[in-house]
Amino acid sequence: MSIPPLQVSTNQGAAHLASDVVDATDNPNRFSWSPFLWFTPAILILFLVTLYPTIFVIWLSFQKTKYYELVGFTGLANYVEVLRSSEFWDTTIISLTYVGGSLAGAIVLGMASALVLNRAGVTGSTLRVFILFPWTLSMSVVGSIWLWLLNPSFGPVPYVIQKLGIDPGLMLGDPGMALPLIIIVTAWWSFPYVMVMATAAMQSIPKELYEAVEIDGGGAFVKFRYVTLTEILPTLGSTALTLSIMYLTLMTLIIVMTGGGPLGSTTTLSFEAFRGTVQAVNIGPTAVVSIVVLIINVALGALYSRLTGRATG
Amino acid sequence: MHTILKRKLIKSSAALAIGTAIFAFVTPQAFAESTKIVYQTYLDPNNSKDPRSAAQTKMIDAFQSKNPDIKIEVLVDSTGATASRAIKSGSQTPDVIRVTGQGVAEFAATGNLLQLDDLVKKDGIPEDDFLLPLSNARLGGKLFVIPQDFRIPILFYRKSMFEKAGVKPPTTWDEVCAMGAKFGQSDVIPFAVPLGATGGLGGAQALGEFLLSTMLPEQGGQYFTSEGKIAFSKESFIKAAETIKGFYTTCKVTPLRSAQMGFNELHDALRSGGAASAVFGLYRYKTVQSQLGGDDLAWAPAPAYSANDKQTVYSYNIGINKKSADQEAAWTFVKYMVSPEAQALAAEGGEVVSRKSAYSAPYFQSEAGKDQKKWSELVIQRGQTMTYTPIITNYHTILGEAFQRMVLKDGSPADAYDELIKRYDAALAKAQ
Repeated sequence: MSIPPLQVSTNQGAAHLASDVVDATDNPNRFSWSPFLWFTPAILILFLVTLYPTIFVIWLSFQKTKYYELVGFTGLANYVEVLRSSEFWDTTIISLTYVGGSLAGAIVLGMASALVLNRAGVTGSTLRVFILFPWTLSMSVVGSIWLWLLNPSFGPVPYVIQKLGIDPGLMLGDPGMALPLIIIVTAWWSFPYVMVMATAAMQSIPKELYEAVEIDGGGAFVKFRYVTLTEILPTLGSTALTLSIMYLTLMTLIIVMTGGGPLGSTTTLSFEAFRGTVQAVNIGPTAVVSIVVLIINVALGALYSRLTGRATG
Repeated sequence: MHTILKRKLIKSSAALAIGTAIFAFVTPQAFAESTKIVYQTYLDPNNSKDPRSAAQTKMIDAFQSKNPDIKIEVLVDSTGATASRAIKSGSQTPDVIRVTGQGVAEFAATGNLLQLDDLVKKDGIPEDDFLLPLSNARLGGKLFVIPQDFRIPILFYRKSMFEKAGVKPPTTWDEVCAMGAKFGQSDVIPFAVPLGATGGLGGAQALGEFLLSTMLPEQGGQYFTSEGKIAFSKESFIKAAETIKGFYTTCKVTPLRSAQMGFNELHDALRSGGAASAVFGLYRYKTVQSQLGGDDLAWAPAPAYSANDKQTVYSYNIGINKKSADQEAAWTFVKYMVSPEAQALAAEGGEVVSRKSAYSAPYFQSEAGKDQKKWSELVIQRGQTMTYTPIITNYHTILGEAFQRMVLKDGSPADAYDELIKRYDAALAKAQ
């Protein structure tokens, strides 16, 4: 019985591959470039898109520049200048307040809406789509809408507050109110993300756990505290960290709504980095600010990896 | 038989593929013989709602039909950030840029703007055929840009609100102050003064552009030296600061809610009727009118310490990137864009074009061109240009915060001056 040509060819290929395997087994110390070759495009993209800009910013932080032209190496002078300035520490406190406040708002709103809509059937699904709406909007659109809503001259929000007999004040024009208002808007924009993640986690909780609590005579609070919250906590934690990283680098809302003012009350580290790059002649100190943001984000990222178990696989 | 047909098919396909590839490679080479000039502008040719964009397209089309060997590629850059980055980093493109008078010093400081004096002289562009002589556009005696249009601050006001309050358009700051009592308690802002940082290039640009660039320099004085040092006196600053603080406090003509306003909020307040008046840029007049202002919106020359004082105008200019690969073609384009012919087309878009001779075009006899003609006369009669600092956005940030502190925290004008000088000098020293 003759072997068809195709089958012969396949067998030859298989034999060739088999011999490769045998070679590799025979010579475990033999170095092969082929695995690296396959990874080259991914490594190249990673280097060009992520590593090179990061390394360049680190390099820039030790330089004096004239706009984007490197003028000379300055050692740690930029770091000393930035870390000694009181404005930097004020900005850091504002950034951390912004991140913490926005996160608290988004988690509370997101969890509340997830809990309410989780068992609301078709109505819940429909409402979820509407609630997702802010998350789908561009940040500049969100900023413009809220700028109008909060306008102390003709905005609906101050109007309602005034009708309630309370002086609405200057809203975004008040140095004491601008940051809390930006925090509220950020939380409003991002809470749907928490809702989606929390809903997904809630829906994967086995019903038996709730039944067990019921059998033990536990009420709604016990169910929430010992089943829902316990089961969704890892998801909630990783969601919170993702949002924290995003809040720390977010600045579109601030650019549109306050421009960092009034009196620098909404100037965050990322906004300062952006403004410094646009305005400053020597952008070395701005690079230092960017590195501070990077360090905080790397720390949060490491925490995120640990929490989600990705670091250990 | 089948095998032969297959081979023929493969050969034919291969020949077709190679032919197509060669054609695709050769064709662009043939077209590439024409020069391409990248023109950075904030006007988007696809924006059918902006008549200035349509006028710009007309100008470019007219240029290309006269110069078929030069192709203009428009780089839309609404905020100017792309041009700023390109010039600061010494990029080859864009070849030709548009830059405001306030930004020229900053761009020139990079050393990447082409000096145009010799080219202007060689081609005989008459220096006195501009609304303000071309010498005003020079920086330290050097010409880096040529004005395309001029912008003088004007008073925007709502006729119905002024009639209701029984006031006429003010010509002096004292008259502005007196308006507060006439308007009394009202939801409307009688006269808005923007101290906010939103919109524009950054910082309190609206405050600087519309009010302080005129109030701070003495009449006939300067704003900054060519090295970027502050040229106005402490006395003039305190006088201006007291005037503005007075609007917010003693005059009660400017409520505190106006302090938050930047460019965009001021625009919104004027179009919605939230503000009865403000000094604003004439380039926004037709937009505010077409949005909600309608016939109720009117304009008058901006108030000053004395009626008919000089007003600081700034121009939108055109310049050439020194790193451009084809400076000759770039100059051919720039020369056309500031020619009376191109300027007459630009005027149809609503600009107060810079060349005097363009105003003989039939458009200016029409109803549409009436306001522009009057504004051009205002520029000639009351216009003055200033030297700006190379760190203008930084200056506007510091200036805005000093004024905000004075108004919102009841600081003194002297403290505002000290804050400005201390922070600005430090910023300038760092920049240098």
